[in-house]
Amino acid sequence: MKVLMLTWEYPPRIIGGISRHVEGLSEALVRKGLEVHIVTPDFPGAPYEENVKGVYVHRVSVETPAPDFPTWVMLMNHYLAKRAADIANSINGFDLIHAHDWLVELAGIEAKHFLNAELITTLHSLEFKRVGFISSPFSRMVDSIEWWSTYESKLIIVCSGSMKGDLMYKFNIPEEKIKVIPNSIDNSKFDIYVDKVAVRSRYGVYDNERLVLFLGRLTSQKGCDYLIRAMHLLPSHLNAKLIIVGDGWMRSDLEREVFSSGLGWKVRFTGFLPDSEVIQLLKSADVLVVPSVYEPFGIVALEGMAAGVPVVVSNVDGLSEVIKHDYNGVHVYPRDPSSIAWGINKILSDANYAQWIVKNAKSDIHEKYNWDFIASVTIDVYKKAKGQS
Amino acid sequence: MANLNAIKPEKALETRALKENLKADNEAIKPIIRELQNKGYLMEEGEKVYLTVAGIIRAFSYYS
Repeated sequence: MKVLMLTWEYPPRIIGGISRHVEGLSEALVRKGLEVHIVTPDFPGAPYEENVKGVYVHRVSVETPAPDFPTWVMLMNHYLAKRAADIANSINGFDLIHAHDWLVELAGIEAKHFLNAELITTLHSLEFKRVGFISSPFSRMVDSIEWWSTYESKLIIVCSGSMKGDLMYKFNIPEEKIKVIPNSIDNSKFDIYVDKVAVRSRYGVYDNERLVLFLGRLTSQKGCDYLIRAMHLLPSHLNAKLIIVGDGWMRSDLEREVFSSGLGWKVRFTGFLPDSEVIQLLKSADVLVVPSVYEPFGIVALEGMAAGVPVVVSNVDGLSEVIKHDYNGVHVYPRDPSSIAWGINKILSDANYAQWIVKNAKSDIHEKYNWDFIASVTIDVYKKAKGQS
Repeated sequence: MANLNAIKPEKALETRALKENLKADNEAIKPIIRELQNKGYLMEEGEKVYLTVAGIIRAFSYYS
């Protein structure tokens, strides 16, 4: 089966979770014998054409400058569709198109019609949950494209039961048209030795101090501002330091809040870090906090589980499905610094409890979240879309 | 700058164009460019500027 995979981010272009998801899924699909072609925007330093672990990656230059982001998206879709058509001509067509999120949906729908192939869409999150209320012209456009993608797609994939419910509620989609397939991660990346003392000292965390880690985009959706406020409420004897890994439009505001509230000596912003450094930090941390306000799934929680660090997560959406309170992690209330502080304190104050959480999390990771299983279930969806099952 | 594809040296944006887009005068544009450079988001080569890898990720982070 020849699959055209459309995505606006693919490594090394890593903006959110879609990049990692498409990479892991595509490589696993190739291992199952499928031919997968990724069509994605270009990125400085990455070749326009390459084959990575059997996956054909075609990077496309968006040649035309745009006055704003919506126009840029439209132009990007034009260039992706054009490249998809060229590839289809050279390999005698595709059997199926798999588009990831609204950003590439217009190219996906176009390709469905000119290639006469079925379209599958994975929606990784929904605009009405990201912004809370559809009001701005931009949100109305995104929301509408999301609806249109569900109409044009033969089947829709989402990553959690909560997102399936959101989709049925928002767009009145029949239940049988939506398939829940969880995200996964590459566990083998975490099977490395890490000199924790050296890593911690690199980030200014020393012997008697505890490393609280945040990892994610610095946007309101990720709730990092609530975690920063929680740092004020931690008992001083914990000697906790917060390392914030990631970047985003909120970074300047967060930095201002940290320094104006006198937290500068115990909070450090690293900006975007390469994978190898992130894994070392994860394996060296005492607790990983995922304080998201909205999180359809939360791959970062899986990464923490695989790295053997206890995770504290907001009790929201898909996160609360992956993490079971008092079993493989700790739930806290979203938007609530005192609850977040309680969760961190619970982990840092009881080493036996933290070890038990980590043991359960590792067992879950190996049993439930691996790409080969996810690929098998995805192939079942492909076959159903093509009327083969 | 991300929308304008100023993401590589060969697609760099003239500083003059950035100034006009931001409606900033000669004195106002300098600290903006310096701050973005200090944060690792921007490269300046001659009279042109373009986003670094970190700058691209930062620019698009809102939409992912």
